[in-house]
Amino acid sequence: MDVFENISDIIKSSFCNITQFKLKKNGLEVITPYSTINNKFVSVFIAYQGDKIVITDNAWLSLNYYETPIYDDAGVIIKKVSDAFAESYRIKNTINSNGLILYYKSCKRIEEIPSMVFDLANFIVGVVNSSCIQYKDEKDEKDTQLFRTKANTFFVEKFGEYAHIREGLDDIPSVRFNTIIKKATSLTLVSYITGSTHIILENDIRKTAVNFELTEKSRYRSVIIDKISLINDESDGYREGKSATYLDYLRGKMTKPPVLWSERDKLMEYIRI
Amino acid sequence: MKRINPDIIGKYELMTELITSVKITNEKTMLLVPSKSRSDWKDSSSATICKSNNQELELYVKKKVHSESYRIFLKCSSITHEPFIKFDSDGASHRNHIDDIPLDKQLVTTPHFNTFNKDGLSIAYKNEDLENEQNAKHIVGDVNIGMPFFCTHVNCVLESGSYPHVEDKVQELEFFKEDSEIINIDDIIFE
Repeated sequence: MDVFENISDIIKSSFCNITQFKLKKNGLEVITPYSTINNKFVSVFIAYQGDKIVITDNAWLSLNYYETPIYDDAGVIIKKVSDAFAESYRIKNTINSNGLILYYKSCKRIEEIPSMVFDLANFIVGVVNSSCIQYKDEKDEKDTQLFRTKANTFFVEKFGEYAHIREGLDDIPSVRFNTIIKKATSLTLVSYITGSTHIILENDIRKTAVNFELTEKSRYRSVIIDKISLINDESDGYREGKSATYLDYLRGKMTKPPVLWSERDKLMEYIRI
Repeated sequence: MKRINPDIIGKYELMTELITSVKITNEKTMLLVPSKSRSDWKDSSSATICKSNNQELELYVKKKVHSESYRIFLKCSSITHEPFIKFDSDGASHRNHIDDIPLDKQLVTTPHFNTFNKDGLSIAYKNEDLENEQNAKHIVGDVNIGMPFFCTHVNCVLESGSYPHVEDKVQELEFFKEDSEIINIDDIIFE
C-alpha cells in the first residue's frame, strides 16, 4: 500500500503548497487553492478591526478582478445565484468608501479563520463561475439580430418614413413592436417571429399573441387598423405545419393571417400607405 | 471548461511574430481618459505597427481610477478581440491549466504577463524581473516604470527609440487614493 501512501502525500503537499500568502501592510492576502473556470485563483483578505477578525473579498468581485465577461441580460440570473450562495455560506456584504460592495465574514477567534476562508472562497468561486456562463444562446441571438435587420430594412425600403422601428404605445410601456406603420389616422402593428430552435420560435409566437392581446386595452385601439405577424420561415426553428395550436391562437389576436418572410410581398397588399 | 480562445489556433505563429518582432508605436504621450466600458478605469491607446509584416496593432494602457493598479497590453483585431499579450500589475493569480504541470506549479501570482499557448489556452508567466521581488515592487508601483518594462519585453518602441509616457491629468484627491498593498477596511462597519 506504499504507493497509495505516496499518492496521498503528494496530493496533500500539492494542495498545501498551492495555498499561498501575500503579506500586506495591515493584513494578509490568502491565495486559496480554489480556481474558477476562467482559470483565476480566488484570493481572500484577512484584517483586524479592533478585536474582530474580518475576512473579505477586498471588493474584487465588484472590481471584476476575476475578469468575467459581461453578458447582457445575465444580471438577474447572477444576482439569484449570488444570493443563493451567500445564504448557503452565510456571506454578508457592505459598501466600502469607494461605493464598492465588499463581501465578508467575521469572527473573533483565530481558530475560526480557516472555516471563514473556506466559505468565502467557495462563495467567490460560485459567483465567478456563474458569471462566466453565457446563458443566452449565442447563435439564436445572432440569428434574431440578423432577421430583425433584414426585416427592418424591408419595411424602411417599402414604407419609408411611415415605418417606425422598435416602437411601442405609450400606455403599454413594457411592450415594443418591431415595426409600427404610422399614418395620420391609423396604426399597423408588426411583430416578428423567429428562433434558432422550435421551442424559441414557439415562445416568440406566444409573446406576439400576448402583446397583441394587450393592445385591446390601449386607448389607441380604435386607430389600430391592423396587427400583423411576420414569421421567419428561413430560421432553423421554423417547421411547416407545426405549432398549429399556437398559430391558431395567434390568428385570433390578429387582423390578417401570419405572413411568411418568403412571401413578404403580401405585406404590400395588407399595408396600404 | 478550459478558457480557450479559438481565434489563436492557426494564428499562433503570427501571434508569436507580433510579440517578438520590432514594433513602432505612435504616441509619445498616452493621456489617460475615463474608460468607456468601466467607470473605475482610465485608459489610452496608441496605434502601433509591426515592422516585419506591416500588421496594425494597438498598444493600450489601463489604470485604475483610485490606485496605482494598471494593465498594459497589445491588441490586434485581425487575430483576436482579446489582448494577445498583457501585463497585470495586480489582481487575481492565474492558473496555467495544463495537466503536465504539477498542481502547485500551475499557480502564477501577480504581477505577471498573460498570453496564449498554441492551443489558445490563456497562460500566465513571470520573467526574471518579475521573479525578483524588489524589481517587481518598483514596476507595479508606477505605470511609467511599467510602460518601458512592458515595451522592452515585447520589443515595442517609439520612432525615436524611447517609450511612451503615460500621463494622468485627472489627479485624485489623496483621500480617495487606494493602495493595493493595504486592505482598507477603516470606516466600514462589519457585523
